[in-house]
Amino acid sequence: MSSPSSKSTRTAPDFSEWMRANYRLVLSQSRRMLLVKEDAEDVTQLVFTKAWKAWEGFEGNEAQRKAWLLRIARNSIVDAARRRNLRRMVSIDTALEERTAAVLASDDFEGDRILALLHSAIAQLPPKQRWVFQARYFDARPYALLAEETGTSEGALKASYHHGRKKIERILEAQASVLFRP
Amino acid sequence: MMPLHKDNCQPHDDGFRLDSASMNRGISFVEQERMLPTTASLNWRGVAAGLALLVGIGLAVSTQSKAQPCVTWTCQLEAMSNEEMQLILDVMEEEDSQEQDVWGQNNWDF
Repeated sequence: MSSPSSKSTRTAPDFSEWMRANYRLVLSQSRRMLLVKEDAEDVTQLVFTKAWKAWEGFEGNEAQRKAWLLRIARNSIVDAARRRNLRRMVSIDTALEERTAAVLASDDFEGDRILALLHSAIAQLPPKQRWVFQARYFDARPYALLAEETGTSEGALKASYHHGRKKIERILEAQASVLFRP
Repeated sequence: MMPLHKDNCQPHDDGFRLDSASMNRGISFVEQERMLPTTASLNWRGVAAGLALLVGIGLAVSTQSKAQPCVTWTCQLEAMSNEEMQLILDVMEEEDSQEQDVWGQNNWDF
């Protein structure tokens, strides 16, 4: 078998080791973006298969390689999220209820109902905005890094996060008003 | 869960606990994909390209070799065999004689 790693530059790490080191990172991003475990696993496999196919052509240091992986991951995950949005056209309330129940029922979820509801509310955001919000809120990734990765200005990312946060707050407030209705 | 407005970069727990089993399953899948000979996918592409070429050639040949539709009277006459031509002439003669019988001389003065 012709192995791309054997032909690539001297600094390229072994693909298997590199994949093992980064698999959790991509899977966790997919998991919370897509909220369906099977979809997240499929997309993560796709991300690393894509990375493998382009492995030989990539030249760069370790940090650049990681940024490259995250870029592949972001594009694949956002694409998958878009397709999921197209498949399911239901009302916000139904979607919130269904998603919250599904998250709570997931065997790999250890959060409470509020956190499950937060995930459902985040899932209402458009995929790109959702990705920015999650990268900031859950991973606390600096705007400068996100700007470099996405080719977007920090200002645009901050605006995206701000609008996303406002929308989530409105959704959660509406839910609270339903929960505590006299 | 931390307040949403505290966006000054503190990571928050998303509540998901990724189990090793699903990670290993995914890693094994990608490893298996890697083990597939690289030529396999090229072969499929080759086969697809070959099929497309064959279909293209087939279509081109069939289009070229397909006879032009014979719709004009001259063309149809030329295409007739001697027997067919004789048959037609017989029929025409027969019709001619019948026509004379039907209309007769008196029918001219309408």
